[in-house]
Amino acid sequence: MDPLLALGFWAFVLTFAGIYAIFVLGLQLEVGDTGLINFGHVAFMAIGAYTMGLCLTNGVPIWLAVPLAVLAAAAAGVLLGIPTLRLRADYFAITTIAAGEILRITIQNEQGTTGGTQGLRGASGPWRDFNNDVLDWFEGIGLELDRRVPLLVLVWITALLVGALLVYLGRTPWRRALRAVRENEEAAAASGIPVFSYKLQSLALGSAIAGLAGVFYTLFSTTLFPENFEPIFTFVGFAILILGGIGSYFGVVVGSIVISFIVSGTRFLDFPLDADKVAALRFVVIGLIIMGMMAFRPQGIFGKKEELHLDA
Amino acid sequence: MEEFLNTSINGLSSGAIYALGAIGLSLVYGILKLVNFAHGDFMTLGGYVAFAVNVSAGMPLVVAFLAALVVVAALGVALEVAIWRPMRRKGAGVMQLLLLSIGLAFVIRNLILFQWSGATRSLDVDQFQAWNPFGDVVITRIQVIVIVTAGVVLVGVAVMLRSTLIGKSMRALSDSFDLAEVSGVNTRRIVLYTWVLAGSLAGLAGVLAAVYTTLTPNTGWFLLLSIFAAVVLGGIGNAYGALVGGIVLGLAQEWSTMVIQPTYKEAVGFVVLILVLLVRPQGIFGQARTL
Repeated sequence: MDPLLALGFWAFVLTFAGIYAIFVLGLQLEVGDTGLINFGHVAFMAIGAYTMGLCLTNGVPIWLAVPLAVLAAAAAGVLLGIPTLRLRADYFAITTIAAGEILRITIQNEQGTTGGTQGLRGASGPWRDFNNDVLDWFEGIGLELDRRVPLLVLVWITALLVGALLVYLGRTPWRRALRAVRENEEAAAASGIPVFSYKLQSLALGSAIAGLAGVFYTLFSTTLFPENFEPIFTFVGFAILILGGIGSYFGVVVGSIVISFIVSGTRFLDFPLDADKVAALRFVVIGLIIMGMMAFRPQGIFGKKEELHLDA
Repeated sequence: MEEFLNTSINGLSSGAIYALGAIGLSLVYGILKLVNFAHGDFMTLGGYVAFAVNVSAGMPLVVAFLAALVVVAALGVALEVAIWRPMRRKGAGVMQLLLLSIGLAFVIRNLILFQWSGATRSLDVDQFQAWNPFGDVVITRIQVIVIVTAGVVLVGVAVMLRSTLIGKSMRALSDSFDLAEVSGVNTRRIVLYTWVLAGSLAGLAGVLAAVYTTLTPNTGWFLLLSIFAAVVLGGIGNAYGALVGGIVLGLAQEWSTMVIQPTYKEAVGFVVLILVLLVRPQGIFGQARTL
């Protein structure tokens, strides 16, 4: 592979990893800190992505579209949480996946607004021009960058900021209360923690973060298709979470790079097999990682065993 | 009226497939507290085994049915011995087993993709032969195969669960594993029988799904969410409930096409799922105590 092309390829893989890192940081807050097994996380990313896309295709400026997308995802989290957060963990998991599928099927069917299976074209709006301006500026000072680099940098800065926010929240009474809810709901309630309200806040913030991942997904892929938001996206997110370690933010970063490498980075290597077969084997490996982790090290690489609660 | 009868026939066909999948999923959950996300991929495997026997090897459909049943039942037993039993012995939690089953689902689905590629397959059945029993009511040969096969098997399973010692033991384990064990039920053996039953029903459902529609590596996964809805509708862990839940769900989805766009019919299943969980989480037939 031509080295410059290879550079672009790695920029692509790492941007994807960064979007996954943001996505899974939201999941970590819900699953790791609060004990909410949310299998419909991708739905909130879809809401962020489509809100962003619809805003930009309708002439809303980017600086307004981003907060709107994040707020829409957070609002959707509250809306889903109010009726469902009282359910037991396994029922909650199935309900969230069903809600996500309802949303996806709706997006698919409402072609008039969302483009349906034809895709929402030009969803990234003025981003491309902005990106070119940035590249031109760097060229002006003698630096020739791959066209994917600005987004790569932006995504990872955002991921680190989100991570820093979560670490900061980790030092506040807020996350201590969340963790108390996770450890023992009855005891937390008896100590005067409004359990339901804390769960709802966690789901809202987690969804907002997923919405932010959606914002970058829109800039990254420029055309949005409903099949980008199938439940498998969430499950790959869970693979990242499980590999890195439930409860560990640093683990999320490592996990998303490793899993993104397996999902798209291995395209770089030459296997003596058809592309389809290689694609299938990639997901076999991801499945085996999930299985192996759950069987032998459920707390993941960086997680703590005593913080793991998988009893439902 | 004709539209109602036609949608009912369609609904019975897909409902019968849901019911076959739902019984196994529900029994496994009831007895082992395992929410098996790989159950849909068991069905897909059944479909592909039938494809290999019926199309690749050119043998009759009946042989394909039997092969699918045997292979998927054997897979169920093998996984019980290799994974689920050791995991239970370790004291794994419900969510731990659930996530493990998601990993397993990835592995099975993608091995199928590896072996048979993503191309859409169908079995060697006459797709077009149909009858008009009266008026504009249409029933296809495929629907007759699906409804009759599933109907016979479902009645057989219901009788088995009600009257035979194995069936009673399964229901006893589902009610309370520990109580059944201290009452002298050989739990280990009954668990294996449960996997045989769940696996063969899933295999059968997969073949019928392949006969009724088409077969891709995602067939079972897409059916699985509707099957979850059927299980919840019938009361989780209740095998009869799952049977009725599957048929009710199939009918509800098809009847809904009389009022809303047919492309939304899957979503109807999920709306039913959420509503039942919120309003009556014990399902239509479940009792509150089983929760």
